[in-house]
Amino acid sequence: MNSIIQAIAEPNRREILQMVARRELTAGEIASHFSISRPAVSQHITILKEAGLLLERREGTSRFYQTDLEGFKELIDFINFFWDEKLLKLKKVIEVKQRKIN
Amino acid sequence: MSEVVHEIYIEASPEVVYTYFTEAEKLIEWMGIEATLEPKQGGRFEVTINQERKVIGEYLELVPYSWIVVSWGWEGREDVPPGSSTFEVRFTPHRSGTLVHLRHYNLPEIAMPLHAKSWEHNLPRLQKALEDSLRNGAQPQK
Repeated sequence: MNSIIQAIAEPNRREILQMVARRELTAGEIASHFSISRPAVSQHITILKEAGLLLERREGTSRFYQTDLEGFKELIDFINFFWDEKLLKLKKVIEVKQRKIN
Repeated sequence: MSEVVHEIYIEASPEVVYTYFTEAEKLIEWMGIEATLEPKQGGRFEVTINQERKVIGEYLELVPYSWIVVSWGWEGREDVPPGSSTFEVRFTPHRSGTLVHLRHYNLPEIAMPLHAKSWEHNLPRLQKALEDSLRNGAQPQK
Protein backbone atom coordinates (compact mmCIF):
# COMPACT_ATOMS: atom_id res chain seq x y z
CA MET A 1 0.00 0.00 0.00
CA ASN A 2 2.83 2.39 0.84
CA SER A 3 4.19 1.67 -2.62
CA ILE A 4 0.98 2.98 -4.22
CA ILE A 5 1.01 6.17 -2.19
CA GLN A 6 4.68 6.71 -2.95
CA ALA A 7 4.14 5.90 -6.60
CA ILE A 8 1.45 8.55 -7.09
CA ALA A 9 3.27 11.10 -4.94
CA GLU A 10 5.65 12.06 -7.73
CA PRO A 11 4.26 14.59 -10.29
CA ASN A 12 5.93 12.99 -13.34
CA ARG A 13 4.46 9.63 -12.39
CA ARG A 14 1.00 11.13 -12.01
CA GLU A 15 1.42 12.62 -15.46
CA ILE A 16 2.42 9.25 -16.90
CA LEU A 17 -0.70 7.65 -15.37
CA GLN A 18 -2.90 10.30 -16.91
CA MET A 19 -1.22 9.97 -20.30
CA VAL A 20 -1.85 6.24 -20.47
CA ALA A 21 -5.28 6.32 -18.85
CA ARG A 22 -6.97 6.68 -22.21
CA ARG A 23 -4.78 4.63 -24.49
CA GLU A 24 -1.70 2.47 -24.50
CA LEU A 25 1.63 4.13 -25.20
CA THR A 26 5.12 2.77 -25.68
CA ALA A 27 7.93 3.72 -23.32
CA GLY A 28 9.35 5.86 -26.11
CA GLU A 29 6.10 7.73 -26.62
CA ILE A 30 5.86 8.36 -22.89
CA ALA A 31 9.48 9.56 -22.70
CA SER A 32 9.02 11.97 -25.62
CA HIS A 33 6.56 14.02 -23.52
CA PHE A 34 9.13 14.68 -20.81
CA SER A 35 12.26 16.78 -20.59
CA ILE A 36 13.75 14.39 -18.03
CA SER A 37 16.12 11.66 -19.24
CA ARG A 38 14.83 8.44 -20.71
CA PRO A 39 16.38 6.29 -17.94
CA ALA A 40 14.54 8.52 -15.42
CA VAL A 41 11.28 7.88 -17.26
CA SER A 42 12.02 4.14 -17.27
CA GLN A 43 12.60 4.29 -13.55
CA HIS A 44 9.20 5.97 -13.05
CA ILE A 45 7.54 3.32 -15.22
CA THR A 46 9.15 0.57 -13.14
CA ILE A 47 7.91 2.12 -9.88
CA LEU A 48 4.37 2.45 -11.27
CA LYS A 49 4.47 -1.15 -12.53
CA GLU A 50 5.63 -2.46 -9.17
CA ALA A 51 2.89 -0.52 -7.41
CA GLY A 52 0.36 -2.29 -9.63
CA LEU A 53 -0.78 0.95 -11.27
CA LEU A 54 0.58 0.26 -14.74
CA LEU A 55 -0.05 -2.68 -17.05
CA GLU A 56 2.71 -3.74 -19.43
CA ARG A 57 2.11 -5.53 -22.71
CA ARG A 58 4.91 -6.78 -24.95
CA GLU A 59 4.57 -6.96 -28.67
CA GLY A 60 7.73 -7.93 -30.54
CA THR A 61 10.42 -5.66 -29.19
CA SER A 62 7.96 -2.96 -28.08
CA ARG A 63 6.44 -2.57 -24.66
CA PHE A 64 3.09 -0.89 -24.29
CA TYR A 65 1.79 0.65 -21.10
CA GLN A 66 -1.67 1.44 -19.81
CA THR A 67 -3.09 2.51 -16.44
CA ASP A 68 -4.25 -0.40 -14.32
CA LEU A 69 -7.45 0.80 -12.69
CA GLU A 70 -7.49 -2.22 -10.37
CA GLY A 71 -4.50 -0.70 -8.61
CA PHE A 72 -6.55 2.35 -7.69
CA LYS A 73 -9.35 0.19 -6.41
CA GLU A 74 -6.80 -1.25 -4.02
CA LEU A 75 -6.06 2.20 -2.58
CA ILE A 76 -9.74 2.89 -2.05
CA ASP A 77 -10.14 -0.56 -0.48
CA PHE A 78 -7.26 0.24 1.84
CA ILE A 79 -8.79 3.57 2.93
CA ASN A 80 -12.15 1.87 3.42
CA PHE A 81 -10.56 -0.83 5.55
CA PHE A 82 -8.62 1.80 7.50
CA TRP A 83 -11.75 3.74 8.49
CA ASP A 84 -13.81 0.61 9.12
CA GLU A 85 -11.23 -0.58 11.56
CA LYS A 86 -10.61 2.79 13.24
CA LEU A 87 -14.27 3.72 13.66
CA LEU A 88 -15.11 0.35 15.20
CA LYS A 89 -12.26 0.88 17.63
CA LEU A 90 -13.55 4.40 18.38
CA LYS A 91 -17.02 3.01 19.10
CA LYS A 92 -15.61 0.35 21.40
CA VAL A 93 -13.30 2.73 23.29
CA ILE A 94 -16.05 5.28 23.92
CA GLU A 95 -18.82 2.83 24.78
CA VAL A 96 -16.67 0.91 27.25
CA LYS A 97 -15.82 4.19 28.96
CA GLN A 98 -19.46 5.35 28.97
CA ARG A 99 -20.58 2.10 30.57
CA LYS A 100 -18.07 2.64 33.37
CA ILE A 101 -19.43 6.14 33.99
CA ASN A 102 -23.08 5.03 34.03
CA MET B 1 -14.05 6.30 -6.75
CA SER B 2 -12.62 9.44 -5.32
CA GLU B 3 -14.22 9.28 -1.92
CA VAL B 4 -15.18 6.87 0.82
CA VAL B 5 -18.10 7.26 3.19
CA HIS B 6 -18.56 5.61 6.56
CA GLU B 7 -21.23 5.86 9.21
CA ILE B 8 -21.31 4.42 12.69
CA TYR B 9 -23.59 4.80 15.70
CA ILE B 10 -21.92 5.40 19.06
CA GLU B 11 -23.72 5.22 22.37
CA ALA B 12 -22.42 8.55 23.73
CA SER B 13 -23.33 12.20 23.24
CA PRO B 14 -21.83 14.30 20.40
CA GLU B 15 -20.09 16.35 23.12
CA VAL B 16 -18.17 13.22 24.13
CA VAL B 17 -17.51 11.78 20.68
CA TYR B 18 -16.28 15.12 19.30
CA THR B 19 -13.39 15.24 21.78
CA TYR B 20 -12.01 11.99 20.35
CA PHE B 21 -11.16 14.00 17.23
CA THR B 22 -9.71 17.03 18.99
CA GLU B 23 -7.78 15.76 22.03
CA ALA B 24 -4.57 13.89 21.29
CA GLU B 25 -4.67 11.54 24.27
CA LYS B 26 -8.20 10.48 23.31
CA LEU B 27 -7.46 10.22 19.59
CA ILE B 28 -4.59 7.78 20.11
CA GLU B 29 -6.93 5.49 22.02
CA TRP B 30 -8.43 4.58 18.66
CA MET B 31 -6.01 5.80 15.97
CA GLY B 32 -2.23 5.85 15.93
CA ILE B 33 0.42 5.85 18.59
CA GLU B 34 1.23 9.54 18.85
CA ALA B 35 -0.64 12.69 17.91
CA THR B 36 -0.26 16.45 17.85
CA LEU B 37 -3.61 18.18 17.59
CA GLU B 38 -4.33 21.90 17.54
CA PRO B 39 -8.10 22.01 17.21
CA LYS B 40 -8.53 25.45 15.70
CA GLN B 41 -8.82 26.58 12.10
CA GLY B 42 -5.41 26.09 10.47
CA GLY B 43 -4.17 24.12 13.50
CA ARG B 44 -2.06 21.01 13.12
CA PHE B 45 -3.52 17.52 12.80
CA GLU B 46 -0.59 15.11 12.96
CA VAL B 47 -0.92 11.46 13.80
CA THR B 48 1.75 8.78 13.79
CA ILE B 49 -0.26 5.76 12.70
CA ASN B 50 2.61 3.28 13.09
CA GLN B 51 6.38 3.12 12.59
CA GLU B 52 5.99 3.42 8.84
CA ARG B 53 3.20 5.86 8.41
CA LYS B 54 2.47 9.36 9.62
CA VAL B 55 -0.52 11.47 8.70
CA ILE B 56 -0.03 15.20 8.38
CA GLY B 57 -2.86 17.61 7.90
CA GLU B 58 -4.61 20.54 9.44
CA TYR B 59 -7.99 21.44 10.79
CA LEU B 60 -9.87 23.31 8.08
CA GLU B 61 -13.18 23.79 9.88
CA LEU B 62 -14.49 23.08 13.35
CA VAL B 63 -17.99 23.52 14.67
CA PRO B 64 -17.90 22.17 18.23
CA TYR B 65 -19.82 18.92 18.68
CA SER B 66 -21.27 18.86 15.19
CA TRP B 67 -18.71 19.16 12.41
CA ILE B 68 -14.97 18.83 11.71
CA VAL B 69 -13.08 19.09 8.42
CA VAL B 70 -9.43 18.04 8.29
CA SER B 71 -6.91 17.84 5.47
CA TRP B 72 -5.02 14.58 5.27
CA GLY B 73 -1.75 13.53 3.64
CA TRP B 74 1.27 11.34 4.20
CA GLU B 75 4.64 12.44 5.49
CA GLY B 76 7.86 12.17 3.55
CA ARG B 77 6.48 13.21 0.20
CA GLU B 78 7.40 16.85 -0.29
CA ASP B 79 5.85 16.79 -3.73
CA VAL B 80 2.51 15.76 -2.25
CA PRO B 81 1.29 18.63 -0.16
CA PRO B 82 0.51 17.04 3.20
CA GLY B 83 -3.21 17.25 3.12
CA SER B 84 -3.81 16.27 -0.49
CA SER B 85 -7.04 14.64 0.63
CA THR B 86 -9.73 15.78 3.03
CA PHE B 87 -11.96 14.11 5.54
CA GLU B 88 -14.98 15.53 7.24
CA VAL B 89 -16.85 14.14 10.21
CA ARG B 90 -20.39 15.05 11.12
CA PHE B 91 -21.83 14.33 14.58
CA THR B 92 -25.60 14.01 14.67
CA PRO B 93 -27.58 13.29 17.85
CA HIS B 94 -29.44 10.04 17.28
CA ARG B 95 -31.51 8.05 19.77
CA SER B 96 -29.49 8.19 23.00
CA GLY B 97 -26.16 8.58 21.21
CA THR B 98 -24.44 9.97 18.14
CA LEU B 99 -24.39 9.11 14.49
CA VAL B 100 -20.85 9.64 13.21
CA HIS B 101 -20.78 10.28 9.49
CA LEU B 102 -17.33 10.33 7.91
CA ARG B 103 -16.51 11.28 4.35
CA HIS B 104 -12.93 11.06 3.06
CA TYR B 105 -12.53 12.60 -0.38
CA ASN B 106 -9.96 13.64 -3.02
CA LEU B 107 -8.68 10.08 -2.82
CA PRO B 108 -6.22 9.97 -4.46
CA GLU B 109 -6.01 13.17 -6.47
CA ILE B 110 -5.26 11.13 -9.59
CA ALA B 111 -8.59 9.34 -9.32
CA MET B 112 -10.59 12.37 -10.37
CA PRO B 113 -8.87 13.10 -13.70
CA LEU B 114 -8.87 9.39 -14.47
CA HIS B 115 -12.55 9.29 -13.82
CA ALA B 116 -13.16 12.35 -15.95
CA LYS B 117 -11.13 10.84 -18.77
CA SER B 118 -13.06 7.63 -18.77
CA TRP B 119 -16.20 9.73 -19.23
CA GLU B 120 -14.59 11.73 -22.02
CA HIS B 121 -13.94 8.41 -23.64
CA ASN B 122 -17.32 6.82 -23.02
CA LEU B 123 -19.73 9.69 -23.58
CA PRO B 124 -19.17 10.01 -27.34
CA ARG B 125 -19.67 6.26 -27.64
CA LEU B 126 -22.87 6.40 -25.65
CA GLN B 127 -24.09 9.31 -27.74
CA LYS B 128 -23.30 7.44 -30.96
CA ALA B 129 -25.09 4.32 -29.73
CA LEU B 130 -28.16 6.40 -28.88
CA GLU B 131 -28.12 8.16 -32.24
CA ASP B 132 -27.75 4.83 -34.04
CA SER B 133 -30.65 3.31 -32.20
CA LEU B 134 -32.79 6.40 -32.86
CA ARG B 135 -31.91 6.35 -36.53
CA ASN B 136 -32.70 2.64 -36.77
CA GLY B 137 -35.88 3.06 -34.79
CA ALA B 138 -37.04 5.87 -37.08
CA GLN B 139 -36.69 3.71 -40.15
CA PRO B 140 -40.02 2.51 -41.52
CA GLN B 141 -40.44 -1.19 -40.94
CA LYS B 142 -40.43 -3.30 -44.03
